[in-house]
Amino acid sequence: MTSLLPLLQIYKWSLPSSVIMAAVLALIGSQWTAREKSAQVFVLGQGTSLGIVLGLAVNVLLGTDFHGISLLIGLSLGWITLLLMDLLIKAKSDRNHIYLTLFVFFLALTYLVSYMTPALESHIAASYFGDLAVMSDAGAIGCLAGALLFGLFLLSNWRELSLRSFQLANHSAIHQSWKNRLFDLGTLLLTTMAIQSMGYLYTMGSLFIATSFAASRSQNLRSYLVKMLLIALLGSGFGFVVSLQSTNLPTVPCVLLGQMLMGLLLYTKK
Amino acid sequence: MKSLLHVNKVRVLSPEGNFLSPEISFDLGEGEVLLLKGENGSGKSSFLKTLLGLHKPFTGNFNFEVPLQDVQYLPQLGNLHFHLPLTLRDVLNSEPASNGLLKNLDLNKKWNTASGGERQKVLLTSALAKKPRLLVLDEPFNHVDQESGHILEEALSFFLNEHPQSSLILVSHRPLLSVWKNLRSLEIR
Repeated sequence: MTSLLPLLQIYKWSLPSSVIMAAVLALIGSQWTAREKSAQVFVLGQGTSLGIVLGLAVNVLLGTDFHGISLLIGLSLGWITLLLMDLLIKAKSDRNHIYLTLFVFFLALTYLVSYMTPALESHIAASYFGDLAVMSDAGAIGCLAGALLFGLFLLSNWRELSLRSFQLANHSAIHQSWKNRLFDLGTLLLTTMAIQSMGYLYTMGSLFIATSFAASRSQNLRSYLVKMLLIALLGSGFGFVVSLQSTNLPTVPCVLLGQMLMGLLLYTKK
Repeated sequence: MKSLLHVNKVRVLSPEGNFLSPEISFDLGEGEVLLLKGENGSGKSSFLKTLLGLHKPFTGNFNFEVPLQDVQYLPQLGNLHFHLPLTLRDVLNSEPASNGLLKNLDLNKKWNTASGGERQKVLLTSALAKKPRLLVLDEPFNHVDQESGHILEEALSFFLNEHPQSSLILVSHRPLLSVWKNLRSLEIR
């Protein structure tokens, strides 16, 4: 325990940031899954990843170290991806394979950019698989602030957003909702920030693991919410701390496995 | 009688430009009930979705004289298995009404395990609680047993009597059992 405390001091921002972000991503993921849009979010994430890698390439080419470029290009490409999917693909009955094609297209472009910019190789691995232990304090604080703000919005509008998801799944949403627009915008922003600072794998895992375990065994919306938060918060915290026990243990897989373990525990406990 | 909706030569199209419905025109006034009839595939549901902005390609034009906020819509009740564990009370999202629709209903039941009749009663109660000026119902008696269907119809009729400025557009294959004031039928074929 005494050796853990100095480590926790080192990760004083990255630990709370990644744990809170995991919880907020879980809340986002559950609503997108309810809207039958998980494949869309998967593609959105890959589009955003490509934008972030392009931003890194721009930094390498210009000899600068301006992280805002990655965030900006990531956001822009994520937004274009979302627009493309909503306007051209969403209404098609065979949309899932189009989403997969788009995913592969973005992945191929990401690899192409990294291949043409050898200096990016280590950055690409970090942006894809992530390493919470090497997250910058600035990145961690930004993510923590964003996640806390958006998390508060989600929690205070949880029921309303869930009913909106119900209407969207039921094809009966005929009224505009500014809260839903804010939800879409916040999703784009938070997933981009998470992918940039914590990686694609962590972001996608945190979006979908908690809801996969919590949805079927919950009696109502409230118990579902509690289970989701337990899986995301405790699972991530546990996984992060376990990863600190050895330098051979990478953070992101430990955090995701921690979430799955917690999910499994809650799933088996009736 | 104030007009709520004016529809002029609306024809629903598929994304590829094929016709999904014949040309439809009508005016709907306050307090009127419009029953849309027609065979399966005649385009009734697509027409309703077009009016409500859920289906885009169409020709012709239409105009609501009431804000869309005052319109409530219940689509055909499919076999929706919803990912979130909503209870009937969650879906209701309002205080239970006194129109008898929710009588003997266990509102703590999960949506995914509720019957078609239970689901439809909750959805209709929720829609009526918003006191819409225009209610659009697509096959509300599908997946509902005869007794529940009769209860739904009575509740609708009661609502329209209580709110004479409200109107109803209804798609139904099943003949209506109650006596409706200001009922008009429109055959779509």
